[in-house]
Amino acid sequence: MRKKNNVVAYFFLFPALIMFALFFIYPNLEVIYLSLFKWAGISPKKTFIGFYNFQVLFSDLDFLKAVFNTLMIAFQSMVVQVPMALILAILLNKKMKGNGTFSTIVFLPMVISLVAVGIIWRWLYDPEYGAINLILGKIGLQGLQHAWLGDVNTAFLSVLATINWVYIGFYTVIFMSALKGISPEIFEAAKVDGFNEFQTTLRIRIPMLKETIGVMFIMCISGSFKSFDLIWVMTGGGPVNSTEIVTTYLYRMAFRRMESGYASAISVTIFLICLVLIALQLKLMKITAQE
Amino acid sequence: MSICFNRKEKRQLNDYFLWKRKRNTFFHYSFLSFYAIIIIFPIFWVLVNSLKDNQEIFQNPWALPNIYRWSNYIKAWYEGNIGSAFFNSVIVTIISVVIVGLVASMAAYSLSRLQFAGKKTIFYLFLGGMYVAPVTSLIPLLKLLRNLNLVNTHWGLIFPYVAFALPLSIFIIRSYMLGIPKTVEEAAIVDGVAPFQLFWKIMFPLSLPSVYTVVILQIVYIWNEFLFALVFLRTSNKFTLPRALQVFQGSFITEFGPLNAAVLLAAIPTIIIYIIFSERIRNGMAIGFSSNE
Repeated sequence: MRKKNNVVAYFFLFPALIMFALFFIYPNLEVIYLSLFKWAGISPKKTFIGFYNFQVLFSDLDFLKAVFNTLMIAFQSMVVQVPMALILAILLNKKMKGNGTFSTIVFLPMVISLVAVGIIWRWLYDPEYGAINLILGKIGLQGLQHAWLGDVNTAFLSVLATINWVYIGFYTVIFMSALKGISPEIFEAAKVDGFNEFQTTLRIRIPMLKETIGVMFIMCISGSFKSFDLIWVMTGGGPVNSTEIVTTYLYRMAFRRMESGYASAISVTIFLICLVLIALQLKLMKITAQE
Repeated sequence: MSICFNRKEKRQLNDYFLWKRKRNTFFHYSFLSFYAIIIIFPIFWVLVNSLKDNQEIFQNPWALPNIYRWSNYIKAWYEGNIGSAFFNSVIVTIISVVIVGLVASMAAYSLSRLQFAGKKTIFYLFLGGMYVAPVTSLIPLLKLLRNLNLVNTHWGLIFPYVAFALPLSIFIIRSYMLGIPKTVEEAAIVDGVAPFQLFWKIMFPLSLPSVYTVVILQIVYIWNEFLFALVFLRTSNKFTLPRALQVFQGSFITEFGPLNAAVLLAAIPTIIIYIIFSERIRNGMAIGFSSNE
């Protein structure tokens, strides 16, 4: 059975490999090369400057601010989205009427275009006509009314709220399937021992889901380095640079300021971060090529 | 020794458990309902106000519309370029997912069933691709598309979409194929099916459930993709929906009715697909992340 079958195997792999090599691997390698140049993107003229772009990058305060914001999104996802998702998953995994519908609703934002989500929330946050300020006015909290996305102090928090609205459902679904993997006898035993829901969660569910939670934390980081649409539509990184993240900064550098060499250096940095995260994640998930 | 209760104690105990169950049920439904309202409300708000004119929105944002202004949808569709973008999105999405479905299942067949030199390397290459941020290849991709004369064409979107969809798709189909017993193929070989035909006649049809999952999942992802569309498309006649929406928002910023209509027109197809295939989509999106296969 261990007979090698190179011709047939590569025949079936060929279309995928060609597409993947040309439009995925090649660009990801070329970006390393491009990061060594001062290059405006459109012009054919490139000037070799070695690692100078990286030198500038790591002392670029705007970039460091963008990295900080990106990591804040990741951290916030870990401490807000993941616990919230765990609570929802525990409730949704119970055999209760209506849970099917609730599960459908919880995940719903994940299928809507993030551009559409951004536009919807921009309007909800609108200082004059947005639902949030209108509600605050109605319940007598006029004092809290606010230009949510226009104020440097609240813009980032407002964007975070929208990110939570979208992604909590995603983590919930992962928890739901992971929780189903725990054998019910363990919960029976916990019940006999007189554990309540809270104790069961703390002492049984969370320890049993350690690996899942680890993978999720990594996804929180890699996800924050991938996100772009929502922030670009809602704030464009502003006001000032209070909501700037790495990807919006990269886009601005590459296509607004025409610093493609510099933007490539940002790409390489993100790529390296992704590689480290992949390695960690694969280790946690124990995925191998063997069958 | 067993604990004995008299009738009164039994009743009290019963009441206690009943009360506890009621309390839990109450907490269960109030928590989930509250969360569901938070999710549904913004969508509902957009729906209601997509049928009003500005004046009515400002005066009475909470009420149902007095007159249902379907003209907002017509305005978004024709004047706001949403109609042509809708058509473009349909074309790009369908062509992309058909290619992904075929190409990914062929590759998954090799990776799950055949032994060959370099298998491990290729598997990890695809697997790693699942987690790399698309934004990192943006600049060289644009350069490449320029050299291939594909900037501002639909093929210039479709090829990168397929390439970036392959890792997850191959992973899902491969996992499914690993679960199909080998005896099925062995029986087919005995029946005289040639090795090259094993894929088309046996493995592809048998793994169709996972191919459907991949196709539906990628419909959702590709329909909503924004970054590549933002960079690779230049003229409004080529725009896909997210790109058109973003431009629409810039020019119709003061006309909330048509803007809401446009948002809904872009969102409704994936919402409908999700409602039909909710289980499949949820499991599909989670599959790349949750399990040890």
